[in-house]
Amino acid sequence: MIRRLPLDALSVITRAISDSISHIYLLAIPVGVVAVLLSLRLPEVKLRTSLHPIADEVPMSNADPLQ
Amino acid sequence: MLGMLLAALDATIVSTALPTIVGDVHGANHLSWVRSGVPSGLHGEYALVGQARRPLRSKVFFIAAIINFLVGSMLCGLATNMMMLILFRALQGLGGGGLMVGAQAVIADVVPPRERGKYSGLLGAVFGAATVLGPLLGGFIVEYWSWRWIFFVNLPFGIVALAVTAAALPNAGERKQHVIDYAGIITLTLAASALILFTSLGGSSFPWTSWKSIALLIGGVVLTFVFITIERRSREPVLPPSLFANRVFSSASAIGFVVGFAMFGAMTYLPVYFQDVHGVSPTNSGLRLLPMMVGLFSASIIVGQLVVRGWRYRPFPIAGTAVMTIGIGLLGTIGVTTSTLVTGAYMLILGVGIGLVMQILVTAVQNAVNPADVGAATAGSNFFRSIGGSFGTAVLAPSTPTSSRTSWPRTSSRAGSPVPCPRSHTGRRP
Repeated sequence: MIRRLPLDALSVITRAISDSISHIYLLAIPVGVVAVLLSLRLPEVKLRTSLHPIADEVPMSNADPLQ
Repeated sequence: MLGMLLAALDATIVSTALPTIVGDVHGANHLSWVRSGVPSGLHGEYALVGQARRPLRSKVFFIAAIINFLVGSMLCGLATNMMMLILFRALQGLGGGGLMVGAQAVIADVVPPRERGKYSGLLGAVFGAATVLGPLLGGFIVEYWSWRWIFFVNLPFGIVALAVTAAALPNAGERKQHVIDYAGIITLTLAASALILFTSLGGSSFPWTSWKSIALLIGGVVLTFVFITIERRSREPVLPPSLFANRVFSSASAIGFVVGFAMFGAMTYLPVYFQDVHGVSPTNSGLRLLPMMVGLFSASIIVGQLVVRGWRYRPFPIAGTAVMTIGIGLLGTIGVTTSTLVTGAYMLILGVGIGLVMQILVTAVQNAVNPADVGAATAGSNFFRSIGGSFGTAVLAPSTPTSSRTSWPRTSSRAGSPVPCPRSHTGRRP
């Protein structure tokens, strides 16, 4: 339907939609920055090599494995 | 793998068809809800998965999820109005969630964490392949048949998955007497749904300050507190509070929420951009998403292989979120005259970023928690990413009317033709 509109209306519409969608990405940038900051807080825990953990290899509770 | 393919395919197949679907059922204002209907159903399922896997054998659980998914798909294809479609999408999402989380949890049952990267990378690749095939298939079906076949097409795939699962999946897991935390599952699902409804419908279907918006917000917050109280008292909580004491789980969940928010919010509107701004067909808009899928696919497999070879996992989410943010920023510069090549390059960057971070978080979480809680931790991790995606899709929604048989919300034309006035990101119309 959009494509059947007169050229001047079509131009206004497509620009409005384009601007509206590009705003989405601009708004998402701060969210991405928050994701980076949160990633910096992710601890590294040595990956287990067995399905049946041994005591010194895996925490047997859900307590912080770094403590 | 088949289960993951089925669920992921359906999450993406709808994207290129959305403009046509919402036009046909007269629901452009709720475009984000059709997209997020499946994730909203997934929330309940993610909650259920961690619990249901305990008493049920993986095989039984998987078969139940496939049947649930197939029934939901069939009903979606028969929907005649927007409300039916949203409800059936949520029902379909219940099955899809079981398939997605179940696939990851089954791998955790049989593969040690050090080797798991290889398989989780493959799962990520399957997800990537589905995201390539989904929009293409969706565009093709909408263009040459009817949008209803987007849902009906799941039936033969699902029947094959059902047969393969019945024949090939071993009966892993042990039967024990467990208590299902129904109160926790119900309150969690209701709380998530209320908050997503608030962000999705507030400012579009009714004003932010209306009693409906305020009731949804208060209801969501109160139910969240009720859920926390229930979990503290439950013998076998759906989301054990002790998991949040684990820094890997809490960090990965927070990252998953934010990545889901940005990722789904960003991905949902690209087909709309291609179809409405560039005027391409649904199939063509699916083709134009290929660079993002290639990036996601490649990065996911490479990360899995590197971790298996002894690389540390921590740098990948950091690099991934940074690359993803750059990709999102670059997409923020697209306009009416931006070429397909440039948009493709931006999408490739976004895809690489998502691929670097998505699957490795699941491996990190499964490795860090008590093995008995792997199911709940996997489900919890997926839950936060999924709910982040629902919030992202709803909050970032521009509410721009899309093409084909859509009624515009307001007209203001110099030439006497209807000109849409897209809602700004603040929820107000200019």
